[in-house]
Amino acid sequence: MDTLRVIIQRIVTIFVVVGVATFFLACLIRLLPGDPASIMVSNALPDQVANIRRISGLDKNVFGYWWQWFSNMMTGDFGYYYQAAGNNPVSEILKRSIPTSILMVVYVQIVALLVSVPLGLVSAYKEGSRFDRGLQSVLFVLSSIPSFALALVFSLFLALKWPILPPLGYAKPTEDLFMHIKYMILPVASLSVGIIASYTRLLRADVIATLKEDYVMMAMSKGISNSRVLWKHVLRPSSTTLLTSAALNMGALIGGTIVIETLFQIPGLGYEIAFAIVTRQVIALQTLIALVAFAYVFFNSTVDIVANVIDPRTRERRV
Amino acid sequence: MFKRFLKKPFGYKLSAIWIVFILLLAIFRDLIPGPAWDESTEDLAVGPFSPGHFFGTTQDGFDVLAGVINGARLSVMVAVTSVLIGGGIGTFVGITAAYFKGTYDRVVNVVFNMLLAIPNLVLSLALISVLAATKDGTPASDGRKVGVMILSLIIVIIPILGRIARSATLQWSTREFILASKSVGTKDLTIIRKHIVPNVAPAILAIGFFAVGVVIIVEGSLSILGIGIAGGASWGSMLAIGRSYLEFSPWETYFPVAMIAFTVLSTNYFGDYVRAMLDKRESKI
Repeated sequence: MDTLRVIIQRIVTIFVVVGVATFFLACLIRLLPGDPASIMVSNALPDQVANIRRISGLDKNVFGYWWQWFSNMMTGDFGYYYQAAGNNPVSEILKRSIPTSILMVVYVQIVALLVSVPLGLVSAYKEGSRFDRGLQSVLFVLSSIPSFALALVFSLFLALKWPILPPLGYAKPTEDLFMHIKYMILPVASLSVGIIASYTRLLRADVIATLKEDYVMMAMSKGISNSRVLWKHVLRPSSTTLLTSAALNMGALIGGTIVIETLFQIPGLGYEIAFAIVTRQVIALQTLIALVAFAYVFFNSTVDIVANVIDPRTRERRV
Repeated sequence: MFKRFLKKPFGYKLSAIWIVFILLLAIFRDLIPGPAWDESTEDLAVGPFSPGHFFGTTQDGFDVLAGVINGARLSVMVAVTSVLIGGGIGTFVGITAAYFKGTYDRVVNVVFNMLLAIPNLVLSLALISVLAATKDGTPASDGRKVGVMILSLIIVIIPILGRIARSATLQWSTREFILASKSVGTKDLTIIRKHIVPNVAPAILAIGFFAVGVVIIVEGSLSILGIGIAGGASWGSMLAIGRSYLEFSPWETYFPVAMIAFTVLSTNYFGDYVRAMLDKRESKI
């Protein structure tokens, strides 16, 4: 019963946050100097502008405009890119860009977890050793370097000086899997380095705490090998924070990929956001940002609910 | 004071020296000899360490060293003003919300959560694209762009520091000494000023340092996306131009990239350091 209440509460929160956030965005768009309809399409004819205003709801007041947009979103109508040549539905772009972004984010998460779990375990086990201290310093430095800096350095050395990998571009995995992987290596690497650093530090802190538990001592004294104790007995109870923050990162990553997608010309959600801004497609932009915000809040809430179901201790803590 | 400084860890010294160095560059930009940052010379795309151009020149003949020094001023100005103003507002709102509670606190909490629900780069992108728009769709002037950028970064910073201030205040306001102070009839503002602010300050300071890094990175990202400051006036803007020539004159890109990376590294180090000190103090209580 308690869980059900939390779930309902969370779902309501998602809609309130996304609703209020997009309403503010709608207000901002209406505050734009000049008419948004004529800003989106340069040199538009008067009847074209009138048409755009009618379709997009810009002829109504802020509330009417927002409500039309919001209710359309709910029914799967994501608005249009308004161009002089004709209106292009945003959903067409989303069909292409969302899978691309999700693939990239999933790759980043997999790579980050694969690298950070062993690193975190080992450095916690050897807490205070030269290896641990060295790794901590290296990770601290890596976590501070912005991903676009890494992207530029990687593409300079691995794509231009020694052309092992393509410097930019994208191929769909369904069309050419090999090229897809080749195109993805540099962007995924530049995004995951910082995340590896933060995941490793998180896991290390938790593993250090777990290693002090009595049952670990017990397992060790039974003569189970160290690596078995670490992987079987220590990793699982220590991984809650890591998995929570990995899940929270999903939403943030979709936003964080904007620069990387632009640098590597990968047609994902972030690239489309940047494109919508440059071409001043404010309505498409509103939709795209709403989707990112929704993804972010959705992942946050799901993590909360899942944590609540799995670990009853969090219920009391949250009161 | 100098003796105390020598006792600090190596990373602390390095970060402190770097930050002081950048601040000096930003303040004394005009006193530093060398070519002007916005006047092109006849040496096009000269490599680094060549005579007259220690960091080389760009494809258009601009001196990279001069550009980097000039960029320090703009990057520092944008970062410091937005974090100070945004942090100030956020801290004030966060502390008062957590202290007075009630409807005010609930509203503040919803607004903070809403702003935090949008990734900070996306939020500043949206704000800038709306705020910097002109009536006829022409690009805004550079001065206005800087103003708009600072304004939108302030809005990005407010909830980040506000939430920290709020949660820290919530923790402290239930302590006995606050209760004691209240029960003898001390004014609310005096309690906030004398008891809450000094106690929540370290947590806010730590996040404030991280926020400076966030701002510098966002500034660079905005330039890469083509809506930041143009014309090589900031580090981000320099690398946004330079990255097109990455193959031919990589120094154009990697000097500003290095400046950004070192500066963010230093501010993050301080953030981490303050937080570690804070944890140590908390564990003693």
